[in-house]
Amino acid sequence: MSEIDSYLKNHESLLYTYHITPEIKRIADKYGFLEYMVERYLEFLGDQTEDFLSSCSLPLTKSIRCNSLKVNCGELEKRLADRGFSLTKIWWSRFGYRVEKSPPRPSLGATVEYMKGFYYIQGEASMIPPEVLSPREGELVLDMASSPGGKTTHMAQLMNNRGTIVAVEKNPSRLRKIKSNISRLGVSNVVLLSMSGEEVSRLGMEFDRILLDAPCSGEGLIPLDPSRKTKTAPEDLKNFQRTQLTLLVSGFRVLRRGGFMVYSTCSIAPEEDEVIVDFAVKYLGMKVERIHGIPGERGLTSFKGISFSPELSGCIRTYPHLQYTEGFFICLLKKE
Amino acid sequence: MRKVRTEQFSRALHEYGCDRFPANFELYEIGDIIYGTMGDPNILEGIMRRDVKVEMIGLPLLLRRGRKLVPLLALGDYMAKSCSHRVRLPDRIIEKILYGRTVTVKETYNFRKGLLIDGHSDFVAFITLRSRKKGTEIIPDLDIGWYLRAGG
Ligand SMILES: C[S@@+](CC[C@H](N)C(=O)[O-])C[C@H]1O[C@@H](n2cnc3c(N)ncnc32)[C@H](O)[C@@H]1O
Repeated sequence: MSEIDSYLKNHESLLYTYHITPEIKRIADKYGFLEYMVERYLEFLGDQTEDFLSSCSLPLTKSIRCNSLKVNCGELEKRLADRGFSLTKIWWSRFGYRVEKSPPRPSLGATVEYMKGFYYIQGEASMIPPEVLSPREGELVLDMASSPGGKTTHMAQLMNNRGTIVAVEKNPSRLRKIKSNISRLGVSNVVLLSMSGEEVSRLGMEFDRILLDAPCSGEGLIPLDPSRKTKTAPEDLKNFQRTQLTLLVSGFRVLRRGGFMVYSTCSIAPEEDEVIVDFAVKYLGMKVERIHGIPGERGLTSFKGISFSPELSGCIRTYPHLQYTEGFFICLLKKE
Repeated sequence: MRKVRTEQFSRALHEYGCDRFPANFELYEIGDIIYGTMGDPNILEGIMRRDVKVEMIGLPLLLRRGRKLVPLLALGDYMAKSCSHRVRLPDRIIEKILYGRTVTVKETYNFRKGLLIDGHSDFVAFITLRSRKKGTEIIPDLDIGWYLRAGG
């Protein structure tokens, strides 16, 4: 049995056994969520659970990332203000803005500035992983799950189009979107490969930094897509876990010593977040680098009777009821 | 996939009033598209030697259509800065063109292929110009509205 198999097997009964009480049934019914989901929320959100559940029915403030490769951000603010948009800078982000007010027309995705590639429409929390990874000009960077390219193009901005980003995407039908975004945003340092992230060792390279924005259940995106309240079964989480661990190990193998990896998901499921990062710490010997200067809750150090490495409090989680963003998990890891 | 030199594309761009290749990129040809990048050539060549499916290297700049070469939107930004066949029109006319419409303006021009720019001097479309009795008909060949219509 592989290390990943035995790791999953060891955790399976604790992670996937649920005790559904009448109170859980009541809450699940009231908010339209599956019962097992609510059982978990009560475990890691405690008395904030209902705040969280009700916040999932409220719209999130839209946000954009100014594309400094093509426009001066002050100039973009001015041009969008002329069209009736009012933007406020996201304080911790280099290029992010909240869109506080929009005109009836044009929509945010149909302005001439959008077509010119002056900005990318992106959830606020999605802007955290590239900022935390912070790739520099001239480095060799790997993006292991890249389409539609929100974070790839953000990293290109941080690198000022210098150095190289190798972006990998497994699903051929999702290549068109990332290609269009790379072209629209004027990103010239990306090599896009149609392959699965598990195969990156075939490239025969070592990377300075790696982004693993892993395929996941999307349990953080419920405010944007209510169908996710009932879409994911525990069996699906198991499948995602396996993919996430396999990608993590593949990435680890091609990361140079001293190099950094960001593991992120748009999911608040500990099964897809801390459980994966704990494997990186305990089985791969990676170190968690504590994230500072970005709003978020601390990573969990235990869940359903499983104790994670205390370092995991250095990771961050975001929630719609606390940070007013989509739910996200972000962790910065170092290969020693 | 292979590395190619900028000189062979100069002629295609000449009809837009470009006297040299408008951007400082290394060029690579994949299928019928010529891509340009500032990525590290040693790394790119390393990848090319592997058995992997490269979808793009940097920006898509030119498309081979039969024996012709057609410039693509990402190259338009660079061409609008350094080539001479520029046509500047007011934003309300530009809007029509972004909806795919042909417009007629009273000005005359002495070229047939041009780069349409807006009041901020930003590239908006590749155009064909046709002389008409009362001015010039402007026909969009490829405009940035493509990103909404087909970009996905
Ligand atoms: C969460 S999305 C990535 C979002 C992207 N990083 C962004 O910021 O725009 C995950 C992507 O990974 C792709 N994917 C799924 N399994 C994969 C695998 N094994 N290897 C590489 N990509 C994979 C999916 O098709 C999807 O496009």
